[in-house]
Amino acid sequence: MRTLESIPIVVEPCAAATGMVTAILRELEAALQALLDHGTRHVIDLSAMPLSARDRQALERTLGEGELRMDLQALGHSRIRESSLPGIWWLRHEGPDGRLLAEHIEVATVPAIVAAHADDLATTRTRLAALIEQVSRGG
Amino acid sequence: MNTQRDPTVLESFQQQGLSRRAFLKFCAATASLLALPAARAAELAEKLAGMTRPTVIYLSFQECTGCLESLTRSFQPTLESLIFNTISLAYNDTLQAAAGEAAEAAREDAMRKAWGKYVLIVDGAIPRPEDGAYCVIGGRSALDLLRHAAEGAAAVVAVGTCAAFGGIPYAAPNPTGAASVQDLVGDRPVINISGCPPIPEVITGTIVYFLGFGVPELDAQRRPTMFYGTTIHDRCYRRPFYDKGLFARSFDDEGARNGWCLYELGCKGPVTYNSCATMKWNDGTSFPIQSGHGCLGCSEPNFWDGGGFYRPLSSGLWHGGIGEGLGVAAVAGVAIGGAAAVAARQRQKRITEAGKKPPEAP
Amino acid sequence: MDLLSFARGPALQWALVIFVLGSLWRLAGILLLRRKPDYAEPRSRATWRGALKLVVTRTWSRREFRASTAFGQSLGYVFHMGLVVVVFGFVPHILFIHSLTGLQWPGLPSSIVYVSGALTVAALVAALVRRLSHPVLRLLSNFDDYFSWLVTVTPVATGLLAVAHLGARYETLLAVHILSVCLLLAWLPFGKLMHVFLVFISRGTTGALFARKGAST
Repeated sequence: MRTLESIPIVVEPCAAATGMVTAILRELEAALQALLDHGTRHVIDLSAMPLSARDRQALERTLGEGELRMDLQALGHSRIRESSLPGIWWLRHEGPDGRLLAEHIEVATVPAIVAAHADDLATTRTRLAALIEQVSRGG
Repeated sequence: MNTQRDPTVLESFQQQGLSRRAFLKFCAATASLLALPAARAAELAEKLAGMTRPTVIYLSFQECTGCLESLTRSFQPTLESLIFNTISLAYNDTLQAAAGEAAEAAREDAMRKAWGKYVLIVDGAIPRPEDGAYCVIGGRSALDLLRHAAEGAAAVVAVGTCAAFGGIPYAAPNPTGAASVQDLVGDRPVINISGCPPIPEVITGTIVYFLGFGVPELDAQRRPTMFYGTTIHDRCYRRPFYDKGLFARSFDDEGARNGWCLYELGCKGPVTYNSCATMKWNDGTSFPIQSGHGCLGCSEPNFWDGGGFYRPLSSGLWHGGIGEGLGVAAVAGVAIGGAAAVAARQRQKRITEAGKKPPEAP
Repeated sequence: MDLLSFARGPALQWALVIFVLGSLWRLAGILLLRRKPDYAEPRSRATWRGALKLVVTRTWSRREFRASTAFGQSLGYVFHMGLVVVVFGFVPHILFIHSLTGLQWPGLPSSIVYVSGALTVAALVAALVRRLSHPVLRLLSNFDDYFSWLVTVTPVATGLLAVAHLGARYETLLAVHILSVCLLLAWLPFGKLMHVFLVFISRGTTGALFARKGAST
C-alpha cells in the first residue's frame, strides 16, 4: 500500500493548449483591418481569456518582440512593448504592489495610455509659461 | 466638502498625486475586472473622468466588519483602495475620524445635500422586532436609520451575506428577528453583493460599474450577473475530477493530496454563485477549494442552515436523523400489512368453509 | 425555506417514510397470506430448487417466443441495467445512500453514468411508444402503467438535465430532480413498481408450485 508520504501533493491544474491563440490572431487580423480602414483602435483583454500557460507562451512566441519598449511609472509599473508586428502592442499593467492588474494587446499606431492628453497639454502650457517666467526672472 | 465645485473622479486622483495615466490604468484594470468589451472600457474611463464623485453613506448594522476588512484589508494602495478616490465616503463609522454626535450630524448633512443622489452601502442584517431595539446606533434603531437613508438613495448596495440575505444573524433560530436589506427596503433599487465576506474586487467592481453605467444586470437574488453568473463548480479547476468520478474522501487521503473533487467532503460549489474560482482571493493567490477545503456556499441565502458544511450536497437534509421516523414507519407498515393479512385469512377461511357446503347458487 | 432545502429535507423525509411504510405493508400483507392447502401427493419435494430454477430461467424467453418478445425484452434490459448503473454507480447517489444507511462502495466515472442515463431515457421512451402503438398492449395498459412510467423516467430525465445544467439553474434542477425521486419513492409500493421487491418472490412461488406439481418449466 502507498503511504501518504509517497503520494505527491498536486496543486497546479494541468496546462494544455486550448486553441485560443488562433482565435486571438484572427481577432488581431480583423482589428488591424479596422485600424487601416477607419483608424479605430482595438484592445484585447487577455485576463478575460481562458489562456493556459502553454497558450500564453505560444502567443508570446508568435507575436514576438519588436523594437520599442516603454516603461510607465504610474500607479505601479507598466510595461509597454511593441510586438514584431508594428501596430500590435503588448501592455502589462502592474499595481503598486507588483500584482498584475490587466494585460492587454492593443492594435493602434500608439497605445492610448502613451499619448499626452489634450487637457494635460493645456496644463503644460500654463506650467511652461510659469517656468519661462521663473527662468527668465532668475536669468 | 466646502469647495465651490466638487472634484471629479479624475481630479480626485490628481489631488492624491496620481496622474491621468494612473487613472487610465485604474479604469483599464477595473474594466478588465468587469470583463467589459473594449468600447465599454473606453466609455467607462471617459465617464468617470468627467463625473463628480458621488456621496456614499456606508451604514453598518448586525455585522462583524469582515466585509469592510475585505475591502480595506491591504495597507498598500491597491486597486481596491482606489475606490475611495472614485467616491466621496461621507459616513462610515469604522473608517471615519469623527465620532459621536458630530459624526451623526455629518451623515445627516451629507445625506441632505445629496438627497436622491447618494449611494447607500449597507453592511449587516437589521433586527426587526421591538421597533428594531436590538441594534441601536446614536439613539436610533438600525431599522429606522436604514428606512430613512434608503429613501434618499439612488441605489442601495447590500454588501455581504448578512445585508443581502440576513446571513448569520438570520440563521436559525434568528434570535433578534434579523432581516435583510431587500426585505425592508425592497422597493428601492437594491444591489446585493453577497459573500462572507464578498471578494473585494467584486465590491469595488460593482460600485464602479454602477457609477459608470447604473444598476448592472442582476440575477433573481439581485446579485450582479457579471460576478454571480456562474457557479463555483462550473469554473472550478477540480471540475474534471468530478466528471471522472474522482473524489477526496477525507482531508488527508490520496484524493485530497492529488487535488481531487471535494464533493464528498461537502463542497457546496455546485449550488453557489460567485467568482471565487476565477478571481480568487488575496490578490489572486488562491480560493478555498484550491486550498483544499470545500466551498461553504457563503454567497447563498441560508448557507449557515444548510445542514452542515461537511455534508455532501446529495445527502438528505434532516436535523437530528431520520432513523426513528423510518423505524416507526417500518413497524406501522408491518402492522398494517399484518392486519390486512389477518383480515384476508379470515375471509379465506369463510370462503373455504362456505365452499365445503353444497353451493346454493352459481 | 428554498425549494432545494424543502426537497432535501421534509419532502425526502416524508417520501422515505411512505416508501418504507408502504413497502412493508404490502410485503407483510402478501407474505402473511394463508396459502391454500394442497392435498395432492407432491411429485417432487425439491420445491426450493424449482423456485431458484425459475428465478433464473425466466430471465429470458423460451425459444418459441423469442422472436416476438426480443424487442420489448431488450428495451426492458437496457433501461433496467441503465437504472442500476445510474442509481448505484453515480457518486452523489452513493453518498445519498451512505448518508441514509452507512453503506458505501466505489462509484463509476460520471461519463459512464451520463451515457447510461441517456440510454435509459431513450429505452423508456421507446417502451412508451411501443405501449401506445401496440394494439394489444395498449388495451392492456391502465393508469398504473402510464403513471409508473412517468415517475420512473422523470428522475432520470431531470437528473440528466441537472448534470447538463439545461433549462434552469442547477439548484432548481437539483431540487426538481430530488422531488421527482420523492414521487417515485412514494408511489413505488402502491403500483406495479412494487415488482422491485416482488419479482423474485412471485417467480420463486410459481417455480416452487411447478416443482411440486412436477410441471416442466
